Amino acid sequence: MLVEGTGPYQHVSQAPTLPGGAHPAAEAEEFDVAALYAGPLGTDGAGARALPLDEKLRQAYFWIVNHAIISPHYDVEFAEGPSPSVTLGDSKARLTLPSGQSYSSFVLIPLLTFAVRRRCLLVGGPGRGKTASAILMGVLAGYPLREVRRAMQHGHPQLTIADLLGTPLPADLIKAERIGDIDIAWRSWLSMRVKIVDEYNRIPTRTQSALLTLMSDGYAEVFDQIYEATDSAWYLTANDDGGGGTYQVIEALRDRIDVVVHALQFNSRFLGELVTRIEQRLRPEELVPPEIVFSAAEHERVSAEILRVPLPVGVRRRLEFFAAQFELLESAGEQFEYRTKDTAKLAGVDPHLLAATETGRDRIADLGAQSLNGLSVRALQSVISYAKALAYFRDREEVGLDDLRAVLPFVLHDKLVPDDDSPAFDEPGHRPYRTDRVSWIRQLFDRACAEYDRLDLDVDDPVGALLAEFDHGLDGLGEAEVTARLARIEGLLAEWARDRKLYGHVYDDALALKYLHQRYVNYRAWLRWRP
Amino acid sequence: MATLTPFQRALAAGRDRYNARYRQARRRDPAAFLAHLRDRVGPVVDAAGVEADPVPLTDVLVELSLQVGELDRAEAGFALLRELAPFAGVAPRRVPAAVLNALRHLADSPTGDPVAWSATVVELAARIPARDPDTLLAAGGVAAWRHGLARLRPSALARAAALRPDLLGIALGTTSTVDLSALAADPWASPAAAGRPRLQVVRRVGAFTGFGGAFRRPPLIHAAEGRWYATVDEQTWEITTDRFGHALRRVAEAPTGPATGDLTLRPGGRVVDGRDALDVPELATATSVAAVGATLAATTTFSHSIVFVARTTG
Repeated sequence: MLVEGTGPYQHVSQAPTLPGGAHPAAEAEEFDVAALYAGPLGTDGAGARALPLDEKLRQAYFWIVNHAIISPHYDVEFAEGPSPSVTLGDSKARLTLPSGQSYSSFVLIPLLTFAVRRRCLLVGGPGRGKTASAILMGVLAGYPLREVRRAMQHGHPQLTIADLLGTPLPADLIKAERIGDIDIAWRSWLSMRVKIVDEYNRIPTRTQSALLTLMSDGYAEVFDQIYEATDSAWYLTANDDGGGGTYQVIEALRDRIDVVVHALQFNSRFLGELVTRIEQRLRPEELVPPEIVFSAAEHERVSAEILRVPLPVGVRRRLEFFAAQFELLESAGEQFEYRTKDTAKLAGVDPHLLAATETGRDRIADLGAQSLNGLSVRALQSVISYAKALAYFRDREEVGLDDLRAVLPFVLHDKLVPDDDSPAFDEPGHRPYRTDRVSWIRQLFDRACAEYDRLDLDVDDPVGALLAEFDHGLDGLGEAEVTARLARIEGLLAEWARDRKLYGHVYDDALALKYLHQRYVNYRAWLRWRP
Repeated sequence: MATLTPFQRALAAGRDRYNARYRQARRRDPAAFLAHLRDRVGPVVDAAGVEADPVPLTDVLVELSLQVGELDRAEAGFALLRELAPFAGVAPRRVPAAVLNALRHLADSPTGDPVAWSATVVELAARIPARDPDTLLAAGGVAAWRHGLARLRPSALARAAALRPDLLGIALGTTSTVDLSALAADPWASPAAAGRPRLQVVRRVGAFTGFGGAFRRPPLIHAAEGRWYATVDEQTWEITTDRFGHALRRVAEAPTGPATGDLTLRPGGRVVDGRDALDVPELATATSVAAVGATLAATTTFSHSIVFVARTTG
């Protein structure tokens, strides 16, 4: 409902924004003296009925897409039943009309980053709203606009560590006898829950290292003084995704970025909205309605609630199966454990050159042949966090396969490096994957899921059964049973040796079996030693 | 060159932003809005002690001004805010909205008295340091109960227990020592010194819709689980009432729990409680009767009001 006398920019979508979600609306509050002072007027949302925070997050999303960022792109698609589609043009470009509530990644991903307090890189050409989007997130965190603007770090070639973190007090510099006596005037942005670094690829390399420490370890250090920063949502912007700023971005810093999202192009059909804004001198970031602003406590709570969204075993198994595809490089090592792309990279050898010498597997069917690296633990942690956040945002009881599929391309965008020379990219219809990384990763996941289904691993997963058996514990297990399990492990590996090629998931399973084997062997040795 | 007031400095600093908000709110009378800012908002900011940074309070007051609809309706509210300006300066995001909302609730209540409440709050503010808006708002809540918002009764009693005696006396309009347990036990008791309890008509609740009331026909009354309910045809209201006021709230249906009281209605409109009797002739034609504790409520064919009779002091 619009409050009397206010315009559309103050309008927040009415709850529920997602009818039929898993979590019912909160019960009406008990009547209290506080109700005397509540609504309809207000500037801090105190008058609004207490809504679940996932609903508030959705209201924030819809306010941004309806009033703030003109991004009529529903590229994060969800289906609730059949979704019609058409193909257009000579290239048979498929346009799908999703039957479920779908979202614009350029708004959704930064908002999920805000919720889980991780690190988001916004990339795209100048003037596409990257910085505006980041500023909106600062306002959503409850900071006054001028404070958000002042706190934003602008990357430029002269940016020093002192500019970024803080400066020693001049009086202390003269008087101090020990370095520990020098007090630092820390920059105020360090304490904020939303941190924005504009054009981060223009920051000098040395200053990037200080930024890395702050981003990854959550502290800043100047003159032996330590500042512990709060958990924050980070927004970094770059005009050039390929690291083509003034300075090459150090790899460790890039690796700390959890998610990458593109500012998509402006749709010329929405020029009218721009005209209105210019004529009325409207700046959406100045008009954020208080109902969608998150207090520090709410921000904390939304993060905690997201972590509690369960990741069911079925979905987790598919993520495991997908992640297993990429690390194997048979010819990179002799010992089984070292047959990885990481081994080749550490030796300074291009994994592609080694992969080209492999002949055993179908290099087009093998998903691992399309990447130059595997997935790090950090990347998988990011995937899980964002999948949970999306399920929470969509008011789902648990993470669904569609949630996982939706976030994977944005999380792995800079983490899974394509082997552009892989023959898979020369396949008809696959050539756009060289440039469209989001679609590439999504189709990799779809193909991994199809292979998972073909292998019927939900029903017949002997390695999973052995791991589950082991998880029950070893207490009270007799030697005969241990020996029987060892025999089953060895038998399974022997069976694979006869008729299975070594694909990534088989490699991971084989290493898991070796792990189990070792645990049982050690346990049997203890049983035999035990007096 | 004349020195700018804090309000003028805030307007200068946020000129484009305020102008954008004004245009975006699509108000139709810029001259009236400017006059409102000059005559009502400016004095609040300038009296708030926010010389160092007048922007947060100005932001809030401009935003609230855009929300209030008819500016003249807000005149009393901003006049009160001027009296409470130091509190608004300390808590700009809480106090102004709270005060304006409270005045609306009082004005919308059939028994609310916003003018009297404003006077009480000003009296309270004179005894509370500006750095303590929490106490002002808590005492203001108790005062709002006294000035007609009966629904605040349970929470106001709870807040009252934490107030200083002098503030409690001002909030409840008495110079006597307030016995909160007596107030909690008897919804009709006076905060002032008690007299001998006697049967008396304590309140009439409800009116014909044609006169701005809620009932299109004379209602029926019944009680369940210690609460009062009025029904007209298929419509049901929960009634909250006490010495200070009453409120009607539409509910889907009334519960059917037991309710017993000490008072009964005899033929001829005589209310008795075993020790005493009171003749209420209009209740001779009662159409429904209910009792809770020492209170009896009855309806008649000839009135849209529900008559409450109670044994109480005062």
